[in-house]
Amino acid sequence: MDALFSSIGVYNPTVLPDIAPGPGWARVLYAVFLAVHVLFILGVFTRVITPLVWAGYVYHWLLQLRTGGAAFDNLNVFFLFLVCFSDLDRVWSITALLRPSSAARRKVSQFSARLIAIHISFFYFGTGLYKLMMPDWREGLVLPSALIGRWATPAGYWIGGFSMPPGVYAIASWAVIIMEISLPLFLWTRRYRLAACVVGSAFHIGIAVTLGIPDFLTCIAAYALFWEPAVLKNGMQRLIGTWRT
Amino acid sequence: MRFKLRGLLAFQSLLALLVVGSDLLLVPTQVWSALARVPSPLPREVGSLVCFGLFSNNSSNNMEFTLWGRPLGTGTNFSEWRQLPSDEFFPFSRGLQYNMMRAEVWGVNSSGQNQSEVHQALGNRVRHRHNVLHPDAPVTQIAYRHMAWPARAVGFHAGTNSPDAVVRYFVLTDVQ
Repeated sequence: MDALFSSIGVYNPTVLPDIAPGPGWARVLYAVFLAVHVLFILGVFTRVITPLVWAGYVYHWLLQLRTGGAAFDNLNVFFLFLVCFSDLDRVWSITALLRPSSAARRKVSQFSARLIAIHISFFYFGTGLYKLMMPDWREGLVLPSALIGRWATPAGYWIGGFSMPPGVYAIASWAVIIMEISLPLFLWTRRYRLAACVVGSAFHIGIAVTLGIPDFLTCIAAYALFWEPAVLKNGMQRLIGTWRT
Repeated sequence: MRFKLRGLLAFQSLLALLVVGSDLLLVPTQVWSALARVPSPLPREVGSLVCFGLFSNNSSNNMEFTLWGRPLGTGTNFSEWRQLPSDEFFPFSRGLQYNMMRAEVWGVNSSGQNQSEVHQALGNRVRHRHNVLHPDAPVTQIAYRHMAWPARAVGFHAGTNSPDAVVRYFVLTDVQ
């Protein structure tokens, strides 16, 4: 906290005034931010809490985190903004426990969820198409250098150390390109949705494990938005039932 | 009731237009730019809303920034400078730390500074933080040392002793 968000830290604000609070206030702000996050996760009066989560994230992002120019930060800003317009605490939340809703009130608009799902679709398609345009990706040169690069974890180096023939990396690269371009189509198709979720999850978990970038795991959470609510509800009830037995 | 519904519909339409419209615009723009090998006409902070392809620049080298401070009473000879622990100033993973130190701020910050001024501002803050945390060993000037070396599968720093390794210093700040 001190190192990034306080006046004795190394920060570089974008848009915000060029003043960071003292270490004490920076810690207080961050603690409030974390507390608000907990309330958000528990689903406590989210109409108020969600905008606070978004504002807290944007504040810390504009104060320093944006300096690195990491595109995945934008996903969090974007998703949090969109869920500000959703009634996140109507069911399966502390608010719903404290104030049980009638059956009519337990129906909410899927509008924000659909927008996030549409954006995820463009995200995958866009990155896949972009990689398709890159000669280094088409020739399978990016994966082997990424696995022994500055982002690589010990797991990445372990895989990179196998001295696999270039053809293996070329196949893997094309698999990534084809997967990213086609994933939106399969996520929107009921018959192949589960397989798409499994493949996408494996892809993002692989990135987190080998390249130390866990931020795209947000996309796995967003896969739930492609499913019909009744399917999700039945699935959760079966899961809870299995857990209880 | 009707007014409320119309207002909600109008707002939802606007939001949908913003999200879907920007996605429809940004994806082909970035792809076209990549195909034509020209910079995207869009500001990067806007274009990345769709998230362009990561790891799009391939290199057979590994690269690293390290921080160096000029102790009191020393000159501009970097051999006299002291390496500062990067984690104390940029507590991130190795890949993200490199990005942070390279400071690829999109556009300019609130003061209208360009990227070199951003580096100077970061350097001043590194110096200030170091001198607050280590008042017994202050530094008067901050520099980046950028090192690039052939990547090796045995480890990140494995190739640093290679004759092909290139080291450059970038002084970020004036003398305090």
